[in-house]
Amino acid sequence: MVENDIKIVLKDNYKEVKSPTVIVGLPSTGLVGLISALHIIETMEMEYCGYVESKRFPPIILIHNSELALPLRIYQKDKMLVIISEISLPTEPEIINDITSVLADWVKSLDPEYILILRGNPIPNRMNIEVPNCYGLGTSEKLNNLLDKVECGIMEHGIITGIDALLMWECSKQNLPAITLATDAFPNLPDPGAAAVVIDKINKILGIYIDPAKLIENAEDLRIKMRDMMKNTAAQQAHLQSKEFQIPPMYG
Amino acid sequence: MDKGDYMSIERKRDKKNIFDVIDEMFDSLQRAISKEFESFMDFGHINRPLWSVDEECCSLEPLVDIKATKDEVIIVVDLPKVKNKNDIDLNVSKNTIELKAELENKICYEKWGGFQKTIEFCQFRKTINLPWKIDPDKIQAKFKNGILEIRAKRINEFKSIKISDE
Repeated sequence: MVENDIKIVLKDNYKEVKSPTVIVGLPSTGLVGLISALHIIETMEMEYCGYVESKRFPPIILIHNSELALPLRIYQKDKMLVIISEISLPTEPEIINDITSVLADWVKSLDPEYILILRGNPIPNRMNIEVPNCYGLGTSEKLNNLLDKVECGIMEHGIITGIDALLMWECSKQNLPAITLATDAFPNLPDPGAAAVVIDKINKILGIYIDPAKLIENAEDLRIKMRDMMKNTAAQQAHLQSKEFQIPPMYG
Repeated sequence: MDKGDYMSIERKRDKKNIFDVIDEMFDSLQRAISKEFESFMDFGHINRPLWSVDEECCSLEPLVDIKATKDEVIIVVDLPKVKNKNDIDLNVSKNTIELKAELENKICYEKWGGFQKTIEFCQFRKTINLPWKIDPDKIQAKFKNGILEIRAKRINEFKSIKISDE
């Protein structure tokens, strides 16, 4: 067994805060989680405050405004933390299990008020839907009641996959207050329209206001900008996504 | 679905002129070579970039999602910044769809990729090689909010076989 070398490195500008909200937006179906998280980072002018590193990650370093950065990063503004990845994460079970346990342990140490895990839900007829549905599932009855209150349908049956699914499971095991928000989206095309729906639900859940309008205004630019990311994510996660169309044996 | 939304699709017709026949042969050869090259480049971890630099006009390659049912092949193409269905050219054969779509405005990147050079794109371009045979006469296409959906009837090459009692 390979030793878990994954570690979270917090920069000097990271500020310890009590009971933060942690938002996780990693690449998956329609890049919904990532597009939503990037919108929150930009709108709230959040600061880059940490990153996750491992010798088992692909050798990819990004350059942003002439600064080097690892793809899996953490941003902060006041009591809000956002975790994003600018590359599709490896899907080997051992690595994603290790990333999940490191993230879950760190998030637990923060004693968070909420953990919101954002993802897309692949649907084949997205083209014919103007405003996609957003479904949620919390790790407690209290959180499910909150979802009900903000008119977010509760996921009753189905299959979720990838690091988002494992993180949700880990949060459930450790009694952490996590909600997964899954919005209907194009399976393999970037979907800023679905991301706008997610932002609207986050606003209602947290009682804040992040304007989703820019996501719609800039949707075409985002769809062009996200092409490579979407292509890589779709190729890497195809075997997992196909399972999300399946019905679990204990359905109904 | 509103029938008015469907676009007409141009199909290659049989040509009688000998020069047209030769042209068509060269076209077909060129397509076969590109198809082989494309499948070679897509093999394993060699990823082609989603753009190409041409002298006249640089092209972006659109994202494409292809699915098949028993009777149909459904191709969804993402064409942001393409405004009008008339800006899209489609040519189809039994197993290939050639697509070209003009962007409403040129997209300019000041410091593009590792080259850090200015580059301008004016169109989307892609040859979609289908793993199933389709009937070029039975294709419908719909364009809405920059998403093109092409629905093509599959050519059924299967024959049913009866199992004998003995």
